[in-house]
Amino acid sequence: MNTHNTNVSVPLALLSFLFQVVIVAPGFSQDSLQTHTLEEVVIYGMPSSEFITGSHRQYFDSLDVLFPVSTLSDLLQTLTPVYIKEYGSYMLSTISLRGTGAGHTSTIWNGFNINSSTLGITDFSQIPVIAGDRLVLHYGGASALYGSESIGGSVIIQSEGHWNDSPSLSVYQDAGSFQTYRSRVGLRIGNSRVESSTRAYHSYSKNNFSFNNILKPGSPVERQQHASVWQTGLFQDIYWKTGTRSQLSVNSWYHHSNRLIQPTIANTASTDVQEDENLRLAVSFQHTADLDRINVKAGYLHDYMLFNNLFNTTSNQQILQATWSRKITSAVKSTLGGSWKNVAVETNNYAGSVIENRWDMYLWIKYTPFRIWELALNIRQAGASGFRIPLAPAIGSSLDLMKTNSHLILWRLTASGNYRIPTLNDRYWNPGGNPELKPEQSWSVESGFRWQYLHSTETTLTSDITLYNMWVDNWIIWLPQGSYWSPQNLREVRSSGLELTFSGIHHVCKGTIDWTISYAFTRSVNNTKLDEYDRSDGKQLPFVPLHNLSMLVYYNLHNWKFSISENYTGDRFITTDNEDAIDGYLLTDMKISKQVNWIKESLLVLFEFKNVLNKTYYNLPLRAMPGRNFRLGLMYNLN
Amino acid sequence: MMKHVLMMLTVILVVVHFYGCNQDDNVMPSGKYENGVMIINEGNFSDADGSVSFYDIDTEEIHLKIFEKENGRPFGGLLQSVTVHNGKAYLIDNLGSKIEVVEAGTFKWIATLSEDLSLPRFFAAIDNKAYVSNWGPYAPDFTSPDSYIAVIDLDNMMVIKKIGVNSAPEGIIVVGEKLFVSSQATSEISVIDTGTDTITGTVPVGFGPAQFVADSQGRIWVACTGGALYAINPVTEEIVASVEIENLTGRISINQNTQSIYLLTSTWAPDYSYTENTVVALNAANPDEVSNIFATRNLYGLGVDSASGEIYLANSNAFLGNGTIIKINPDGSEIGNFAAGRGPNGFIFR
Repeated sequence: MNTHNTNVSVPLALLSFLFQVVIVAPGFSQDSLQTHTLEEVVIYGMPSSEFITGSHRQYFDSLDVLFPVSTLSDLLQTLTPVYIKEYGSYMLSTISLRGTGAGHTSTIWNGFNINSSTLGITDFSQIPVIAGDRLVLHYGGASALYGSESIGGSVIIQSEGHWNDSPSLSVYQDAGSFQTYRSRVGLRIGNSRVESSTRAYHSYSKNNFSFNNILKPGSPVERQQHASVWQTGLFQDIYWKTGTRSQLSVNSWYHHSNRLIQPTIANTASTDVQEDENLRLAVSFQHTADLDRINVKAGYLHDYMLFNNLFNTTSNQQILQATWSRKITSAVKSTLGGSWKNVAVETNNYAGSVIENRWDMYLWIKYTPFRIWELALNIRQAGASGFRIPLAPAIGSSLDLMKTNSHLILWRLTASGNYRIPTLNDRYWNPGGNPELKPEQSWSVESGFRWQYLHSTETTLTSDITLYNMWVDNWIIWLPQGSYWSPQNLREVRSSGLELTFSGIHHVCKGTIDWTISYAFTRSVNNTKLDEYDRSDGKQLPFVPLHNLSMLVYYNLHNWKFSISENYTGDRFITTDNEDAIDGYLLTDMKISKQVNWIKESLLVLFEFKNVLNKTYYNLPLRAMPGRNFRLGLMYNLN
Repeated sequence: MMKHVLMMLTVILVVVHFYGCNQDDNVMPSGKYENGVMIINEGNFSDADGSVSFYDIDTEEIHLKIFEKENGRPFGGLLQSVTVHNGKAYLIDNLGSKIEVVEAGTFKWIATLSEDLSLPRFFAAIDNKAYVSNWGPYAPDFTSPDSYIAVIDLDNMMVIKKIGVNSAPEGIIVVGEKLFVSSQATSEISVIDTGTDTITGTVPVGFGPAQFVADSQGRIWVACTGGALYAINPVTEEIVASVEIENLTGRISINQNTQSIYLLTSTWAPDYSYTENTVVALNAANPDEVSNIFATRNLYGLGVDSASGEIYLANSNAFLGNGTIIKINPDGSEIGNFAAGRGPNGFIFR
């Protein structure tokens, strides 16, 4: 597995399909877990990926082994210094990147933003790791590339063909504490021209963990009565090289979940239930000529949510996207793109149904004056009925300051203007929705250094540091307005911080140690006052930890794998005046696995040990979380 | 989830409330929380952080979270109201549907009642019998079709009877042998005979009757969110005075010495970008003379200290931060302000 700024699994054959020439630094092996600079990573079928220059990204792939049935919520908490707000065990999980809110990160699945059109967020507890072959965490604003909601960052989930002639089958089943059972089946069949990938998943957890009810005298131990979750889904992907230079891809995803909403300890009698159903479809055709490439995509996103068997919301989005890329000179290439989206929402939370059309136009230019220096200029203008959406420009630079057999030092710099269109709930919720809302707007600037050091064939070290500054204006908050709540473009926020990653690979004896430490310092400050009595001006935003740290150490020896992960989430303020806070916590998880290989088959036994130190902790106030728990899994692979 | 929270908040905020004065506080002061102002901080729905603050008028010291401080555990809920009766304070948790009983002077925990309550709101008592308004379980559409008054035996802390009432009972007040209950989702006040604990009559008022105060003549005043204030003669159960005041929130308080009544209104700014709250004053003896004495945003509760005449206003800071208590003179001039807990909604002056 590999977690940081690396790219190992893109076959060179695919890369050659694109303009980009992958520069492999001498001395850095392609099959090491930590290859070379992130700047050259190009993802097939994602025209934007080659125009990203100068920003901080983390790449994840081959996540199968350590995270066979995890959700992105678990994964991001374990591997990144990003704060995931979790409303209980297996409950709603939202992201806070660079001190922004849950709606300030776009989630791009095979080219389309799958954030809910009504809530404007993605619940990462509902996204299995197998949603894509590749996951990218893009820190910081990137509206020029990914559009609305890309203020704090973007989570990119991309599927791709493997083009193996032999079929592969993978079956996984585990059983764990609190009556948790999770299964997954994957089947890939195809050859170098056509491929089908089918993945199905199912999980159930009674989730009846015990906890101390700290609100009762003597903090008696109680059992969680109302947190059962059930989740099932299917992915079907088809990749077809229709010609030597063209490819058709179809990605589809059906997801269905039911949950009993875990209440706070203060309200154990709650009986809230939620059902979600999603159908996502992406069809993409790409054709490459000598200097040109076109990519045409169509998407359909269907989201259905039923709350307490009464409040239902159905959202249907139809999206068309087209990009034309051209290599203008040997140093300049560009992409011109456009997209159109139709959103239709039917819900008894609004006064009537809502239909909206939105369009986007964008131009991305990449200039490589020297082999070691890349510049990007990206710009996007979006439009929607009844709105003026600000222009989203971005410039980026990436310069190899040093490149020798043992050292690589890279300097990144980027600045961007980004935006977020108010969600449909913000504008149409009845009562309180505010149709006068303006889009939120942000400006950000960041710079980073990356240093890779190949000490010997035994040891590779990487460190990465990023500093950023961001200003968000017209930040929407919901305020009580007499008898109901209503959103206003009120808040101004300045966020600044530091992201640090250190990682290394050491070949010791016959094994390998692979470790990563990621740390984020986030200062996200409110610069507005509700009225003269408000004490929040100049204070840290609630639920943005100043410190967040993730550490993963992973030891591999003769088909044995052992990993230990530590995640520290710092204190979070509960109130905007920073007068009340909730304690930080350090969680320890361990995994051990043994793989047995036959000629074409393998069997993996995986034992997971979560919250090893049996910590009592709260991600959100009074939302109980499970103590020490276990699971045992078996994975069968046929290649 | 968000939908749920917003809906609940909407419902909670649709109903506004106050805390009425207590006539039964006849125990000699002894504890450290005897002399001063108890501030009822409702808490924020998703954080369940209701709390009680205590303000010492003489030293101007504020003690936050006194329940947690004295009992080693947070109150943990939505603190809808606090009532002091016979030396005990009854803290009503609207979220967990329970009542915590503490020694009023020391705030040391005595008992918890969590049976047979459902979204409880306000408390009124005579001797060893108490009445608590309950909205009853929400229907799936968040209406309250099964509202009731829980009759509680205070000696055993048990609900001994449930009296079905109109939807969303809010204000509750005992006058003589009668209990008056305002049902916020209707235009009626129910009258309950405390001898038989049965409904004996109704008083039709304007829409949205919320909270009561009693004046020195024994009349009870009720603020209706439909935009009117009524005075009722509890003996004849007839309306004896009415004043139209637009945009009332239902919050009401009375200075027992001067008979000045203070109410809170909520109005949109001309550009609809925010709402402003105004403190409206009138005198029970001359209710037609209404004046606006103070205005600011985010006011969520008010109370008047009859001893000093000072009016305490609770600024909720939109529940995003902790609240601010603003002290003003009867003429509206500001005396000062200080920080309290989350979502302050009312005061008890002791």
